[in-house]
Amino acid sequence: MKFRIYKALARGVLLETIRRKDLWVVAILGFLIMVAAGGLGLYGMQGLESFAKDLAVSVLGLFTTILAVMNSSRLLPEEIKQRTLYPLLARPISRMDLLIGKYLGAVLATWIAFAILSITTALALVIFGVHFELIMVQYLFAKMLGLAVLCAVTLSFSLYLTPAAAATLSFILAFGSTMIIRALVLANDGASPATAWLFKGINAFIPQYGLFDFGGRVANIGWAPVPLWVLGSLVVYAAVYSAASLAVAWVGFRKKAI
Amino acid sequence: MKAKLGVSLSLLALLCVGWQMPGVAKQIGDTSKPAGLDAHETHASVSLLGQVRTNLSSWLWLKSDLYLHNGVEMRPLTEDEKKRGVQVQAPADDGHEQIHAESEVTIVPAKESDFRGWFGDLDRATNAYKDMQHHTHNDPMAALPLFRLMTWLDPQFTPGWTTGATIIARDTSKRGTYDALNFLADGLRANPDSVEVLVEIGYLHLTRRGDKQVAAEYFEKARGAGQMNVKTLDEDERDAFEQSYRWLALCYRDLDQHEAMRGILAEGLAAFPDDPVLAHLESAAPLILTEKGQRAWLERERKKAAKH
Repeated sequence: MKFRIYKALARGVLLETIRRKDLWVVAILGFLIMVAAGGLGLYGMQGLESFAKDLAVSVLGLFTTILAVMNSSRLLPEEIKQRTLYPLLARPISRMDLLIGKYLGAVLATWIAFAILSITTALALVIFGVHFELIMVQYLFAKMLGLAVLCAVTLSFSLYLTPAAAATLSFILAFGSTMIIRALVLANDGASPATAWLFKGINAFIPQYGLFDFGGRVANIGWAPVPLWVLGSLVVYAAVYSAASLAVAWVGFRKKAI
Repeated sequence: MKAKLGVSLSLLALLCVGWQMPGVAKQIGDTSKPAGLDAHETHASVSLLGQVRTNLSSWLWLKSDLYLHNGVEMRPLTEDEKKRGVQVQAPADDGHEQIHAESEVTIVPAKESDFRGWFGDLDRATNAYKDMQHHTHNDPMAALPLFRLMTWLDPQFTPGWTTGATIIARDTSKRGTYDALNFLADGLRANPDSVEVLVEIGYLHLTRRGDKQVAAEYFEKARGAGQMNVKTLDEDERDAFEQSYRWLALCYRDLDQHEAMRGILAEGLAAFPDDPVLAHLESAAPLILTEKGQRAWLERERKKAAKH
């Protein structure tokens, strides 16, 4: 029963994404990637395989992160602002159901955008004769998990902050969390025990988006596929972190005066 | 709408005309290099396109280093780490020369220096990470297309020309030398006053082709370019300028042009009084001494030069 509710809500989000022409933007970006890759191809691809793959994963990461954040940050605030939330809540749908349905829709829309961009970049790479390795499949899988976490975190922020602030904070974490974690590791050496515990806490709390990005391995040569225990751990981490973010979002949504 | 378009076009035309005015053109098209500023950045500041090209070439420069390490990101030891005596393991012997400084470690920390536990393990398993014991380097030749690309994007990026040529010249055959010299010739066309490029060409003529005469000609050109822009040379160009004196002195010594050599040494030491090589060449051991005596004499002179 619940599944039908989630499906309907997710479908609504997807249709809204299409109506807002977000996916068109993705398709145009994909086309631009192909054109840019064509330009690079004119220069000659021999020896530039690593560069081409690096460029491909960077473009994929950048554009899908932007889409995931922009899409997730405005889902519920817009429903509230445009008062379209009332007819939804007038139905036998709890706020929790609404949150989960919207989240699933955001994830689905992001994954579709990611798939469109992946296919375009893969085509560009195939044209230039770049060899595909197993780790590339793992890269796609891990990236999808990471995007699911990103959608949950952004959705959660959007219930406590304005959409612009939620998007900004999400971008800072999406692009800066790895840098923050590296800084913590550096600062931890020689830190007092209390500070070291604080760093551990921050490290556990901050979303570890960098773990879902195998781009460094994909772009370079001869890296072995990631072990299964790592993929399993990432699935568990993504599930736990997304659930925790949605729980925080639900607390905010439940108390929200509409 | 039409009025707005007209105003916009007029402003654009005015801008185009103004751009060409002698006073403005002198400012925006000034190719001289202010002291203390990198010539590359100065060039970029004249136009947005230049800035984009500079950023792209700098980005490619960083990428070429990353690909050399097969994606493993490196960082130098911090001052604090050096003070604490953090030990750095030497990289694996992969048949290549020592490429990076010994005081470099991976950005993703090793297990023993990582407080993150499970997260740290995942980080090492998902990122391009190898501990220093297993750290090897890719063949720099693989990065060559990037050097071609960065110099194509920004022909004023001289490190791209010189490093690219060094990579090509790893092939020590005649063909390799020929290709490296051709690459540098392109670089020289784009940067006729670059001391670095001139010194690199002279160096290849001297060490690969053994042509001291031609090498000396290029070192002379480098010396001339250095003197002409002495106040505006950046650190790398200044270093190359100093080297031009060293190589010139050696060339003249081997060409038996001792008078020219002495002149170069005097001029070089006036410009770079702390240069031990020039100081050493200026006070070559008297031939009347035995081999052992010459070595002792040279050692004394080296110590003297080091003291100064």
